[in-house]
Amino acid sequence: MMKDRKAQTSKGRNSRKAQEEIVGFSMIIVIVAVILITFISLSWKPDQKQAVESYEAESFLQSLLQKTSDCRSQDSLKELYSLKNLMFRCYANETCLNGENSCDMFTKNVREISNRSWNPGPESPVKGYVLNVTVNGEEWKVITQGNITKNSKGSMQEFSKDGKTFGVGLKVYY
Amino acid sequence: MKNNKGQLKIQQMAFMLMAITIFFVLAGMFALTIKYSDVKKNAEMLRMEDSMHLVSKIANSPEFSCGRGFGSDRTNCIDSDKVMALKGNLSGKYKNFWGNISNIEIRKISSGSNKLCNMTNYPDCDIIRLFDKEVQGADTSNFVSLCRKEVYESESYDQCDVAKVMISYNLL
Repeated sequence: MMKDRKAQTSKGRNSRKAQEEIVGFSMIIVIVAVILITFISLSWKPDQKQAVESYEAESFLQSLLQKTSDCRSQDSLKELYSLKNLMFRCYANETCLNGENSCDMFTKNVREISNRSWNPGPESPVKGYVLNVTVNGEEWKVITQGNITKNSKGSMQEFSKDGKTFGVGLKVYY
Repeated sequence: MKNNKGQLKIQQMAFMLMAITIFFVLAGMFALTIKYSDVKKNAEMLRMEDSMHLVSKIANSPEFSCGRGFGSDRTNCIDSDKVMALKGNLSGKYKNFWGNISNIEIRKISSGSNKLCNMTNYPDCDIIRLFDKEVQGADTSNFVSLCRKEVYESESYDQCDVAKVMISYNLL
């Protein structure tokens, strides 16, 4: 009788131990599953369009330099310079037909168009921009507006004039 | 007793099978997420290229482009005189010329106002809308040069402005 009771108690303990193991094992599975599902759902972000795309910055810079400025040449042709040509005139310290300084005109025109195009500001998707002009790799002119942030898209264009290399770079911060 | 032990074994096996199934399902989901994120990146890049190409294609098509009349070094340049002429001639061949493109809008950035262009107020206006309806549906945009010929002291010159082309298309 005693032996039978002992055997029954030992089997009962074994069965309970096995049940506890199963419960523990299933709990581990549930915890791992929850962690994995949380990780997957966090990495699953909705598709978002960025405030500025690099092709936009590139096209903008291209169009900006082709824009006709308000500066008329002093020669017999009296042509209106494009902003690209106005930049060269500014480097040569020339004045426009109306007596205005070509550099002032260049800065004014670039700032006006860039502000209207990007509308930089703390409430706007675009926070700021930096347009810098280099001559033979050395910084010559910088036009900035708004704030500089960690995220930016940019573009660069190079031109040669009178043996000098002009580089125009634009960075738009968002 | 033997019956109980058998049940316990079956229970254990069932749990093991469940665990293995859950493990493979989660591993598969994880792999799919990684793969799908790559697909998303590629799709985004393609979309970007498409947008750029679509606007460039439109801007450089014979119906819109500046051509040699404005010098050969201009890219992404639209002749606004041509566009206005085209706007007045859309009923015939050009009705379904651009496929699923529902409207093309060219918005001049140089000026601050939003005056819509028509044959009477051109060129003292800011927005050229190819079709006279609102821009609806999905759209893609990019910057271009908008040029036209102007006259100063009986000499003609190129007047170019920065503009934004917005192409709206019907979703499939």
